[in-house]
Amino acid sequence: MSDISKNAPEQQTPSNLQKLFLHPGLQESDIDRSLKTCKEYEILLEFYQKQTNSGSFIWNLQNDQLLWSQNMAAIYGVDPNVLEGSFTYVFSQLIHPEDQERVKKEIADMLICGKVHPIEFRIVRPDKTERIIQSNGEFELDEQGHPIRCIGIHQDVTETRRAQEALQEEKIFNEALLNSVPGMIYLYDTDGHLVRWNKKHEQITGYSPEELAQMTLMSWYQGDEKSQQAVIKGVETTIATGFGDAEANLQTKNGTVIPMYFTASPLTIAGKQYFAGIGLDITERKRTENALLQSEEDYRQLFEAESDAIFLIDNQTGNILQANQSACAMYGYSRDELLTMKNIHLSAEPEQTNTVTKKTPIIPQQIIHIPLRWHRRKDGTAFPVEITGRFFTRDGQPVHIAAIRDITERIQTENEIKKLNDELEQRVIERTAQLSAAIKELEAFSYSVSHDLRTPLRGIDGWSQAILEDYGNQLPPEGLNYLHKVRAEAQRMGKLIDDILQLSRISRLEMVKRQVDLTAMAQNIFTSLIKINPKRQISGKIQEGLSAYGDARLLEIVLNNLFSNAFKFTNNVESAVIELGETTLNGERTFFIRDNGAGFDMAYASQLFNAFHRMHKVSDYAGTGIGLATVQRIIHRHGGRVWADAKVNQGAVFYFTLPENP
Amino acid sequence: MTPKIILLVEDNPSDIELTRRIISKSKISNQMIVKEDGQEALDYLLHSDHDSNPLPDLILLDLKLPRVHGLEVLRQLRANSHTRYLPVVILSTSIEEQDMIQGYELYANSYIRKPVDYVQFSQILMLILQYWLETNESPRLG
Repeated sequence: MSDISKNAPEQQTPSNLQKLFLHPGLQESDIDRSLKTCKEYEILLEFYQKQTNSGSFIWNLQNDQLLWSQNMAAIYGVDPNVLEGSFTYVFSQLIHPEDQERVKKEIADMLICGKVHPIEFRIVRPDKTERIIQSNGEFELDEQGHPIRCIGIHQDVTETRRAQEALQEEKIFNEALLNSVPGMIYLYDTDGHLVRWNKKHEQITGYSPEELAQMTLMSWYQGDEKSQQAVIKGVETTIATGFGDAEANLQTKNGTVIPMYFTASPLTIAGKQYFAGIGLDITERKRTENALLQSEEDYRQLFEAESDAIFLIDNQTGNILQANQSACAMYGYSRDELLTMKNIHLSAEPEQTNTVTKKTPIIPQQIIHIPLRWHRRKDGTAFPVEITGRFFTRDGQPVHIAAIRDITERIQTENEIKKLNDELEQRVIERTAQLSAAIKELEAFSYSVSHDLRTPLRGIDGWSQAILEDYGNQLPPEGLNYLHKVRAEAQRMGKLIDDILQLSRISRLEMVKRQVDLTAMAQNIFTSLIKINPKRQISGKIQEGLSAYGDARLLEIVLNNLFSNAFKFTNNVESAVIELGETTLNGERTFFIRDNGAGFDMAYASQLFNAFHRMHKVSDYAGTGIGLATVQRIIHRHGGRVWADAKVNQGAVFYFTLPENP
Repeated sequence: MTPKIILLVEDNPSDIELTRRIISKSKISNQMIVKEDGQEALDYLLHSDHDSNPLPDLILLDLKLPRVHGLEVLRQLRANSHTRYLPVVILSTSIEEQDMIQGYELYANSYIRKPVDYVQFSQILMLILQYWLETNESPRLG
């Protein structure tokens, strides 16, 4: 009020308003009265204008003169007394240069249509401050309807406009914020109706704002009791604690089901209760979680299905942190029991177990293997196990995984094998002793045979000869013949005994192997045979340079037997040929002795090398049937093979092989 | 000429008779003494008065003998200075190499395997007598 009284003009000089409304012809008293009234109105007007931050003016279009109210000058920041002047001047001085063109055009439009419309523009006060002005007014028209004056009002709307702008900015910011949140935001009233939401809510659910306005809290979980329960529980928690959350599967408009995480907080707006919160799409998290769960489940299955007992053990304490089903079965403890135990409680050798647990260094990828350790079951029985361990750091703590295999059966089997081996060894020793005894017996027998059987033969032969010598002249020729036969038989038996003895001896003789010149050996034998059979026409073809590795005495027996046979069986051939040579059969060096004598029927070849087996009648070819058995035994002792090929009356070939290397 | 003394140590009657038959036909004048087991032979050679039981000029020794084995007889002969150099010809049926080796290791003078063929045997025996009684010289120790 003080402002009003201060600003109120005290002087008697007519004010602007007085000048404006002064009517000619009025009496002085009337004037005074009118002036008084007028002054009061002016006070009222200025008060109003001040309160509403507005001012008024009259613009005379004919002379461009402008009349201002007091507060108008205050709005424009100029001296009220200097305000008078042309509109053009004021316009150019105070209207913001950027707005001048637009305002000018607006005014021109108003003048053309004869009607004022509200416009807004900026002014620049002399002190350079900017204000926003809202202008409105009316034209006063002449009889022709042309505007002659404009009465207008200017209101300073700077604060209002700035407040509006700030509000708008805030609104834009909030909206941007709401829409940039990676989840949906919602506001439900206590009846469960969706009241407000952000753009993301529309995007995720696929519903239009109109459709969303019809939605309730439970609209999203049709037939999904689990989700419904979760949401209800979340709401209850929110009411009870001031915050609640839930995981539920949200059904979108197109039928897609999205796993979501929801939060809610109670909210009061204008005395009404609401629940506000956000909803996050947790598809990825769920997928990761599920993958993790699946992987964990896979490993759990593997862990439980393993037939070995598997433990996770804390190296520092030996505490059992995990144990699988096989561990329970193997040791006879329940899993709960195992998880309160230390690994040494399962060991029958706790010292060693403790040392390994605490002293094994952690080397990545290294596998510790303990081939045999004794462990103990709950019932006290000890059993052997094989342990495979891997030491590593888990959560900063040194631990190890131990896979334990019950090797009771394997140890039993090993023991049995060992026992069998021992028994076998014992049996071998026994058999060897028996064999040695048998050989000794055989040697004694052979000695006896050679000595005792031959002695009477000598008597038979000797006394027969004595008869021939002393009484030969008294016997008829037939008697003499018989005596000769007795002597021949006795001698044949002597030969037979000798051959048998030789056959048994060659098995017992210790072989002394060296490189033997077979060519020279064969030539000597051939020469000797020729000497014994001087009448025979036999040509010998003995290949030069034949050599073999073996026992010379035994190989000589072989060649002697084979050459003797060849001599014998070519007895009836006019020009006999006996050949010794070397050839390669199936990649193997093979010696052969070939003759063109009587040969034999290959049908009986399988028995050729059996002792006492003869291919010919004694009357045709003399012999004991032991020679080839002896040959075979010698060749076999050398690791070689012997066989024959023959045809009746077309000669025979005897082949034999001898290993080439010592 | 004093007849040569031949000691035959042999237990088989047939062998004794046939050997005697062969030796009797020898042109070399001889006297054959027969001992039928090893102990008898040792008694004669080592433990008797050699005036009445003169040491032989040749010993024909069988190996497989009753009581004392021929090789043992040989061993004891060689261990005795009186009999050390007596010519000993082993006449055996055995073809065991071991017998032969042991015989020579005990300084047998010869090892002959008696053949079944009587004619052959008599030829061999004649050669032996001729060699050891006529050709060979051995020291005679009292």
